[in-house]
Amino acid sequence: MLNRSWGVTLIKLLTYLATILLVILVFCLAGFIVIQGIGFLNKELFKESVPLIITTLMVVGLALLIALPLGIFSAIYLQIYTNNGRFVKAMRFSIDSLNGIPSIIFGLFALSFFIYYIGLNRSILTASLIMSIVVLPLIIKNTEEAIKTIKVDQIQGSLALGASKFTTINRVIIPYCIDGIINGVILAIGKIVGETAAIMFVIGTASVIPHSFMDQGSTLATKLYLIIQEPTYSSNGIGSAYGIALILLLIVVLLNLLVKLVNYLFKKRG
Amino acid sequence: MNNIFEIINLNLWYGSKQALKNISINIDDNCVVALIGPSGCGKSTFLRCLNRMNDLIANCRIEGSILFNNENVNSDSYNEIELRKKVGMVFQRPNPFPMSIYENVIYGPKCQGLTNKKELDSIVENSLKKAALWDDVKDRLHSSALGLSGGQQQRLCIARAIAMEPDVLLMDEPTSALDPIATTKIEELINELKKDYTIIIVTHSMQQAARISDYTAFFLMGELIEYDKTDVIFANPKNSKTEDYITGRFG
Repeated sequence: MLNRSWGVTLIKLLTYLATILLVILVFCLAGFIVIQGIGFLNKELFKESVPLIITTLMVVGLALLIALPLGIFSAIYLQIYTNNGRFVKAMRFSIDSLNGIPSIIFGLFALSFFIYYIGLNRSILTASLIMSIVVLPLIIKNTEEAIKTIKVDQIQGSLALGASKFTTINRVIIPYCIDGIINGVILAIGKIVGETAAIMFVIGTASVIPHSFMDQGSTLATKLYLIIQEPTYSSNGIGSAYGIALILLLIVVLLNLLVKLVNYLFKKRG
Repeated sequence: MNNIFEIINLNLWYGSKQALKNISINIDDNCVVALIGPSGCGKSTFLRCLNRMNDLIANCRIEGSILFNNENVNSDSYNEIELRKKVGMVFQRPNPFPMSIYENVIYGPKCQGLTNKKELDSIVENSLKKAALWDDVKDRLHSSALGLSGGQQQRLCIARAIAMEPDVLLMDEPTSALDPIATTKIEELINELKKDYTIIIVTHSMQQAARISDYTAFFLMGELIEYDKTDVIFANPKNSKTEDYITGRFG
């Protein structure tokens, strides 16, 4: 029989091994992409990927611009303005379900609803619209979790000082949820940058620098998908797939750092 | 003396459970009123009627009149925000905002749109002095309020309430989370503050009620059993239930 201290040691060992495994896995994955891709980071690939990067950033920006206010206000509504009635339960269930829908279904919906039914053109705008829906649950959930950590005492304290609900939200709730919101934003950025299935039918295949949100384009991920499927799409063939994959990883890392920097500056100022 | 609060036939339900039954009570200006009674007797619920904090609780229904300076505050037409500016509240657990000490004190005035730096500075100094906290914190006004001790945090919450220049201060067991020394300080403070404010305090400690209050109200199971001068309540209560409670036979 295992005695108590053996059990503790075993659990410690298991958690340790699991962590090591995870770190190794991340390094292998990233390392593989870096090793394979670094040789293709040349002038030609750079030229090829500039429009892709710009398009990707445009989709990220517009989708967040739509999803952030919607998500934050929904979360505040769900946490502050409602009691746990049937309507709220239905809403929560919808949000959770939205999170579980495979992205190819979003792609199908975007194509049939935005393009065929409403009659929008294939464009960066349409792609951003569908991506804002895809990331909405991430924003809502993370904001809600953050609001939950604010003590009821402090909300009541603010109201008892004659502050309105709006002021309380503005001055007590949002400033102290900022970490949760930022967390949601980081997850959302990762999702948008990496998404293929949801947008590939509605964004087009153009690989030139877009001039407006009404233009067609390719994001890094959709282009990557095309190249893997059909290497002749790129002058470098399958090789540029690795190059683009590497750029994609770098963009995600850079955007996350940027968000953290904004958060840091915001806190320093506040 | 004036009646600052006049409560007539107050009934309150949480859903179908009646928590306050036919409470009628007059509260004088500039005195300390202690609300005592065993847990669940409705004393905190009653206190929260006076600044309409019960509005935040779903399924809470209140009937009867709560006259504050002769105006019924228990009506939809009375603006609860205006009420809360006049009737401040200090909670059981100290609840400073995670901001600096300075920001905590000016939170209320700032919400009212006050931005003049000089005025805000003097509000901070006066409120902290009144709350007997100025000497402790004057050199670190801009450090976080969360770094203060529990007792200091509670005095900060009192300063924060005073900064609004209210007429009344409601205190919901303000010392129950504090050690004896901090408790003594708060009690001394209450003695000072009653010159300028009407103070209504819920307390679990009968000794505390006897030490600091002018009037005492004894609640039991949602009813107001007895309300009188504190010395009368503790020396010769008229109701046998009051006597049983203060002599420690139950509760």
